[in-house]
Amino acid sequence: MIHIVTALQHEARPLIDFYSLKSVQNNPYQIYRNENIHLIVSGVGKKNSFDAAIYLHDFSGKNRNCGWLNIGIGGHSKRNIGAGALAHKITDQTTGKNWYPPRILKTNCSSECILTVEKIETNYYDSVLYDMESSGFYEAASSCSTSELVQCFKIVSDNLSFSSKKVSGALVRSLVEQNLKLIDSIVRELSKLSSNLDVLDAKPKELDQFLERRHFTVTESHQLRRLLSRLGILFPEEKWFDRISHCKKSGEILTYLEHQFETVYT
Amino acid sequence: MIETIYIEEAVSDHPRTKEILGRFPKATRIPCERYGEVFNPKAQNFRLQKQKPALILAQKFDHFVLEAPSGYGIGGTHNYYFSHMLNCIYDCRYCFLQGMFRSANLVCFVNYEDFETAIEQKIEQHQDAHFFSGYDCDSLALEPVTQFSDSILNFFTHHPKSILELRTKSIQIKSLLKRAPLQNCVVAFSLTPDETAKKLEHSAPSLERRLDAMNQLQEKGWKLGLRFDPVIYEENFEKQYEELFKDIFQKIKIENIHSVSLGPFRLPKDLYERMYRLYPNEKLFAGPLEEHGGMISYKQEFEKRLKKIADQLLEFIPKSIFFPCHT
Repeated sequence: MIHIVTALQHEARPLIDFYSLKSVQNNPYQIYRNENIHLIVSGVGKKNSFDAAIYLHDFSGKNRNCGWLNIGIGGHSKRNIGAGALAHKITDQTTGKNWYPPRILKTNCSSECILTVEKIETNYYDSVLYDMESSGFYEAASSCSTSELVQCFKIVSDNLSFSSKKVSGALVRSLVEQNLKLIDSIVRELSKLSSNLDVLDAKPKELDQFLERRHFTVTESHQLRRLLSRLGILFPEEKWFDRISHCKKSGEILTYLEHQFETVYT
Repeated sequence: MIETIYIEEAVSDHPRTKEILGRFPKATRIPCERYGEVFNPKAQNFRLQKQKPALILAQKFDHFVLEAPSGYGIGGTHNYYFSHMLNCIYDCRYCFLQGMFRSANLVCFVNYEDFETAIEQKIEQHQDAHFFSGYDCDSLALEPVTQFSDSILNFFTHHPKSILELRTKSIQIKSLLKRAPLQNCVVAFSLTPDETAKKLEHSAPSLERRLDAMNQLQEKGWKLGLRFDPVIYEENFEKQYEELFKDIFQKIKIENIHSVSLGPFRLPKDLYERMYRLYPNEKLFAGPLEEHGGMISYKQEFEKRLKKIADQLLEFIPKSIFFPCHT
């Protein structure tokens, strides 16, 4: 599952159309979704972005293997309008705190340092991409998932030759539309990594059968899960539930399963 | 291979930083204040990062040389280790680094001279001290990039009573072959049977290539170390080790071997737990392991079978150069 956070409805609209997302909530945030993607419109600024990411994590069931992508616009002194880049370093101008999104995605997308500012930057003193959300988004999303799955994609909307005052809603939509192919390649990569982690967390086969038919305490059910997982790797064909019919209590079942490891050395 | 390089501000102008950067002209360069900003954050997944590790060029400020853990020795009384790098380009599933570090990025401390100063201070206390490189990394795997071994070997040329071990699985031995062998340096190769290496030592050179590198080194007069550590349980592993030993001792002359060590797969419990979470489908971690004094290792029965392997080994080498490792 991928969670997308945009500040503006104008940034969200091309994504809603491209991924055929359906509105699932209007308040306190507009949230859209399909089978694989949630999108939330946070409002402008790092605090809004932070709050929206945390909200979406709770709203979507707190899965810690989700990919997170902040998509938005920003200003840069030199780069062309419409150029898209992933963040490789995010600095919060106010606090001075840095984040370094790991660069493990297989994509042709270029990358930039992002400086998150409180107010729209018009002088572009440094050769970085100025935005207003990334630091808030990254801080929140990386507390909800592993940092490799948390990325920021920014599109240059203004530069020294094209003032931010000229940036209209229609232009923002158009900039996102121009970058949809690149955005989709990032979404697909994040989905792949997210699915890989989901597979690792998958329940071992037969676990439900054990838990439904026999009583285990919470601690015992954790022990059972781990035992079944390990035994499933060592003896992939074995059906353990069929072999514990003689065990009356949960403790006996766990002991029986633990004893199976001894046969590995024989 | 390296697409991203993080550069600590403190070393951005260091000549070694510039040399290393020059070897990766296409890599994206990202400045950072301290390497820990990139390397230490909690929300990182070692397994995901291992797909595409970045290089971090940094400065080490302290703890250059540390006392080696007990049982980590090859006959010396005073054993120390040092790590000019953190992490390794290989992906050996049994490696404790997976559990030790949150990040799979490769850290290279470019202030080699400070390591040498710290080693010199230890040598002043104990001339015959043993120094182990390759504890938190592979000593030679990134040699074409770092040229650390070349630098540290120059240093040990002036300290002939002290022993340096370069622990490796690498075949990057060009810099060693180019120079006169140091009698106080042991190039120690980690070895497992071919079947185990293929299953668990991802990206590492094959056994055959390691043996070829060892052969080249012995022909040049370098002293070799054989490190059968960890021994991994496999079906018929006694037979596999028997064949491995035959293979090695057909090619490597006993008089060129400085020392041999052998020990079972073992990990501190907390590292094992982290590694299990990273690779829950890995047979190695699913197997019958148990805790002995904070260490996770094979059950007692395995120690008996390990003893048989040690006996096989002792048919080839004198006991005086054999240093078994225990849990």
